[in-house]
Amino acid sequence: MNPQIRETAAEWLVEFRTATPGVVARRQFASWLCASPEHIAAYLNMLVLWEDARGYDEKRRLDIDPLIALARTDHVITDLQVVYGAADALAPERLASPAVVTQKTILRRLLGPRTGIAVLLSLAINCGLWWIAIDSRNDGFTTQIAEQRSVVLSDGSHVDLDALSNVRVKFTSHERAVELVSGQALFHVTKDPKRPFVVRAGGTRFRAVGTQFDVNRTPLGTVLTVLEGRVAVLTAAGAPRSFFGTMVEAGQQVTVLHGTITPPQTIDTAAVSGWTRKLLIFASTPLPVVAEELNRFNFRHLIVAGPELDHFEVTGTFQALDPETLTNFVLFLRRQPGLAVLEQQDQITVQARPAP
Amino acid sequence: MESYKGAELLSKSQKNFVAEVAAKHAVRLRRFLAARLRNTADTADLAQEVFLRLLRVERFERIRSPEAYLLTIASHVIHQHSLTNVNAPVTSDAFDALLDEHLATDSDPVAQVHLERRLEALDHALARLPPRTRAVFVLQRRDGCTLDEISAQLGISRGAVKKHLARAIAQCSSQIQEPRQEQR
Repeated sequence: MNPQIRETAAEWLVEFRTATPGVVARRQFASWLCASPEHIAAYLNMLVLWEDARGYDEKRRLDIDPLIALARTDHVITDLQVVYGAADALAPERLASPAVVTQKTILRRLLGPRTGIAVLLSLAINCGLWWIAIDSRNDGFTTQIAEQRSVVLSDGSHVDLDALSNVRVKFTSHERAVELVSGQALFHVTKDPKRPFVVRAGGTRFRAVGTQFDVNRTPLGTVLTVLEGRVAVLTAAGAPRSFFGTMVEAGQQVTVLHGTITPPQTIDTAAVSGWTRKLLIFASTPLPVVAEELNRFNFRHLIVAGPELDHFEVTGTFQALDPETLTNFVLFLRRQPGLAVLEQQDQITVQARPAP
Repeated sequence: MESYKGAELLSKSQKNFVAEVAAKHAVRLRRFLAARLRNTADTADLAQEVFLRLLRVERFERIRSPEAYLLTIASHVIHQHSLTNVNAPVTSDAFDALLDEHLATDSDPVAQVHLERRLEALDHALARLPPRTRAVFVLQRRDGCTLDEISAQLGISRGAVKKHLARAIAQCSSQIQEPRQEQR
């Protein structure tokens, strides 16, 4: 079944089970149901799962408290490395606690009577990855190709770092400063009105108090997407429109290029944070940006030559970690009549085919 | 999905009606779909039949509670199906509505085995979810917490709780139905 249908069905079910949807929602739901038998099948399946789940763990074998503790320090990326560290005045016990919880939860899962062999095996393998040394002096984090990381900062905020990315952290008593040197990161910022959380990328500053936002440095500018809360954008070049900068609200995206901020656009934030689920989701995304994101996961880089292809847009969803993704994408590019593709040992160059 | 926030509320009696209809038909639907979750052909047949009937309803989108209507129709289709198919393990009679769900499954060993098998599959699927998504799901379904309670416990917004809930059931359902695909 198409995952999109499944997700929509799940969203509707949650809507109907946790709230009383209004007349507009009910009509939307009705027309969604009438659009396809697949929608109906998906909804009925979700309903059964939902009802079944009431009987889940009736004997209360699962201790919820460690799970809650873990969830409070949750990272979108779960089965990758978790590194604790960075910044000023680190209380050792504070650093240690989330990691201990993690271990306890895994042990509980390992020993849990209902856990199957397959899960045991996969957890045993994952265990090794979870336990990473603490280096409190380290104030920079770098990821390699196809490597993603979650970093918990000393204030409890955390950063999901995309592949081939680099951040530097410097916390002072009046500011929590993070520099995104390259790549992309998703910031989950804890509230601290006295110390704003400021992300610098090139000459631009993104200031938040408590929120979730994604910053992506692409060849066509730095893209800010706000998932929760609000973020103020302050550019260095040129006078900002106001002292407080341009406010970007949840669900909106702006691109900053050479000190100019595009008007905020409402977008699908789930697509932007897709990379944390190892999905590259593009919706009318310019080819140079697509290439940049693909290159974060492949040693063989895709080079877009010349500015002509800035307007060549790509829409689609790709598995970031699937080795076929690049191959298939290059195949797709080869089929485009307007493009010339040159494959070499360590790179693939694509450029606009000159008009005959 | 975001555009309908803040739309007007159903009246109290209307709300109860929806819950009643859902509870009434849940037993029958679960029994029918339980044994067939993996047999997508049966589910697809049911969905197809329900779909055709919905299309015959004039101005279905104007119906006050489309979900209750959907469940009623699905339940009727199953009822007819069980009448024409003697071997089908589906029993349905007027008492269904009166039976408590647990009572219903306890008294039917086949249904009980099916339920246990599904809960086991659900357990495996849940283990693969990120901690926050799993916590939201367990708090809501097992512990019966409200959205606000979960939001306070986990320090995330109400909207985020809903998103995690939806993600949990979507991913579990996909795990259970297409386990191989998800293991990539």
